[in-house]
Parts: sequence; C-alpha cells; structure tokens
Amino acid sequence: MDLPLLTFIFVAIFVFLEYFFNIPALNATGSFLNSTVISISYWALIYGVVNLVRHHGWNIYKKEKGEWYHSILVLGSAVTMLFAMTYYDILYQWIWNNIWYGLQTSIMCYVGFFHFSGMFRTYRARNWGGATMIISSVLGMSVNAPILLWAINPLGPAANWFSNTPAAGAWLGFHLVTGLGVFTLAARQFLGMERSMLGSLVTQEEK
Amino acid sequence: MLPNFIVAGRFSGLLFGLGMFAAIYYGLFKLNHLEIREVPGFNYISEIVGRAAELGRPIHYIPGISGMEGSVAQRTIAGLACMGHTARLCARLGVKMHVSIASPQIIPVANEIIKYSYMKEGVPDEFKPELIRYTVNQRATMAYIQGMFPREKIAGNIMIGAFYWEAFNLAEMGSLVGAAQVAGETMSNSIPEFAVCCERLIIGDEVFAAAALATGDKDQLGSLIGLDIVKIVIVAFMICGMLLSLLGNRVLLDMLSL
Repeated sequence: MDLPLLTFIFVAIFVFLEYFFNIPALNATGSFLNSTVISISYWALIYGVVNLVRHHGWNIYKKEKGEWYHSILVLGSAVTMLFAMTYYDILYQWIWNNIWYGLQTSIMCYVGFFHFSGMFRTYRARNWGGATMIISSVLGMSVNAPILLWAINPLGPAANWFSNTPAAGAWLGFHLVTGLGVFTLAARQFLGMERSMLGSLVTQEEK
Repeated sequence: MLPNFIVAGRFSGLLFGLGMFAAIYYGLFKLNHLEIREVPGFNYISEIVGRAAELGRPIHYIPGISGMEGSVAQRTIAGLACMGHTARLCARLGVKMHVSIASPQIIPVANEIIKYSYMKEGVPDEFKPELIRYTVNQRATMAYIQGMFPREKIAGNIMIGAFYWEAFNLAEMGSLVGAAQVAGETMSNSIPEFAVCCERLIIGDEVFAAAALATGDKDQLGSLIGLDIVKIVIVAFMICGMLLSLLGNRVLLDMLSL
C-alpha cells in the first residue's frame, strides 16, 4: 500500500512545482509524468479486456446459465475489435450511429419519462426545499420568458437581482468552502492519511 | 519584482497554498484533541442502516457517477471513504448493501474497501461482490436504479460523490419507494434536487469533512480544525479587502495578483 502512496506523493510534488515554477527541467518532467500516466492507463485497459474475455470465456466453457449471452458478447467484441483496427472510421461510425446511439436513446426515453413525471411530483412543494425551488424557478424562468415578463412585469428585475446578487454571492461562497474542503482532503492524502483512493481506510483503532 | 523562475500571477497562490497547508498541518498534529462539531447528514447514515436492519431490507450506496480523474476526483474519494463507513455499519447489523458504480476505475477500489470493512467487522463471508454493480454511465445507472429500487424494496439510499443531472432521478426514485435518503454533494447544480427529495444533505466542504469522520481517526479530524483556521483567515482577508477597496487602496488586490 505504501508504494502507490509514495508514487502519488512523488507525482503530486512534480505537478505542484510545475504549476508554480517556470523551470524547463521541471516542465519536461511534468510532461513525461503525464505521458506515463496515459501509458499506464492503456495497460489497465488491456488488462481489463483480457479479464473480461477470461470471465466470459470461462462462463462459456463451463456452460453456465446464460451461455448464449456470454457467447454473443465475446463474439461481438472480437468482431468489433478486429474490424475496428482495419476500418476504424467506417465501422466505428456505423456502430455508433446505428447501435450505440439507438440504445442510448431508448434508455433515455425510458428514463426521460420518469424524469418528467418526477418533476411533477417534486414541484408539488412537498417540503420547504420544494417550495423554495418552485419560487426560485419561477423567478429564474421569468427572466427568459417574455410573456411572463409582460404579465408580471416586476418579476423580471426581481429575478435579475436575485440571480446577480444573493445567488451569485452564495454561489461564490459555496465554491470557496468547497475548494477549501478539496484542499484539506488533498493535504490528508499528501500526508498518507486519507487512503480510500487506494482501497483502504486508516482508522483510529488500526493506528 | 519576482524572479523569472516563478510563473507570473501565481506567486500569491503559492504563498496562500503553503499557508493553508501549514494551517491544516498544525490542526492535524497540534489541535487534534479538540472536539469536532457533528455533521447531521453523516450521522444520518447510521440511522438509515439501523432502520434497514429493523425492516430487514437492503440499502443502496452510490459514490457518485464519475471516476477518479480531473476536478471530480476528490468528491469521488470522499464518497468512497463514506462508503467504507456504511459498509462497516451494514456488516455489523447484517444489512445487505447494494452498490452502483458507473466508472470502471472505481470497481476494484470499491471492492477492496467493502471487503476490508466486512473483514474488520469479523464477517468476511458476508461480503458479496455481486452486490457491487457496474452501471456503465448516467442513463444506464438511472435505468438500473429505477428497476432495482422497487424490486429489492430498498429501505435506505445514500448518495455521496459527484452527480450531475441524474441526481434528480436517483433521489426521486428513492423518495418514491419510501427509502430514507441522505446525499452529499459539492456542486450547486445537483443540490436543489437532493434538497427536495432527501431527508438530510451533506453540502460543500462537509462532504470532505464526512470523509474524515468516516475513519474516526483523531488526526484526520484535526485537519477540519485547520480548515476552520483557514476559513477565519479568508474571511478576515475579505473584510480587509472590502474596507481597503472602499478607501480606494489597492494594496491587497495588487498583492493577490502577484
């Protein structure tokens, strides 16, 4: 567990220094480290493909339940990969336009229906949060809805004021403390205390 | 004038960053004996798990929809830390915990954290990796949750991490099946949806504080005191800057642009 942590700290120091200091050697090291990260992630992709093929291949070999599904998946992936290497543009575009995009749209239709019916449920003002959301939404929308501006004219300037003054101030304050929170977590990571990104938690009792 | 090896306009940032690090370091090691205020949203996690144990129904956890790269990495990491805490509570009370992961990078990390949590509670055999589901992307995650929540009769839903427009669907679905819900988010665009649908909310820097609370480690909790020191300094800076600007003095502004 200490080796990944040391690597993290080492890389973080270089990235940090590269941001603040204008030293050619540092910049070169920063670019090199970035390329290394990309190379490592590609190796992880290859490892992932091997693992998936192994997993599905094993299920086909053992004739597990849903064997046909595993077979189609492996066959589909193999054909896509082999053809994509040769006819990348044509084949990938075809898969994207005719299969992937279609599947995404059908999921979106299913999810979208719930999304819209959910909006109706939420806009019933089920609690104080919901009520505030309705009021602020009406105010916010009135800025961009000419007919609403015409009907209830004073709402326009009010909405603008809410949007530009208290909301903008709250937004800035909110992002400021969030940024500080990120910095604190990063500091704990840098000192080797926060290790959840490595799949481990260091607790008081373990210390 | 500053020497050439310092990037122009970033010197004040460097000084400020070092100052913040020093304050957090001081909090970590010198002020870690002080009491930390409670985060109600974080405490609600144990209530959710307790309620699920009483009802004999499972809970659902999602550490955000993103991976561990870019600006969302820290939010995901905070979500993972809280997931370890939730997994320990579930292992202790015998509650089944469904986990949805939309980024392939997170799967091995989540797997390790949950397995480790079950081991620490002395029930490694109760760990079921098949409950950690890879849900590919936003739309597929929403579709999965819309099917799984009513099917499994989810008693609690915990969402801590990075969320976008799917936040509304996830929280509304939990609300629809009557699940007790808590959400932790640092993005202002997802918070309204969570505020309407969830019983408790962990907002902004509380999400990162919750990550420290999840470990219960006194040293890590000390970092929150360091963070409070930084907040006080920033507020003092703001007041000084405002007063100086009103008086027509640009010293502070010039200093910050160095």
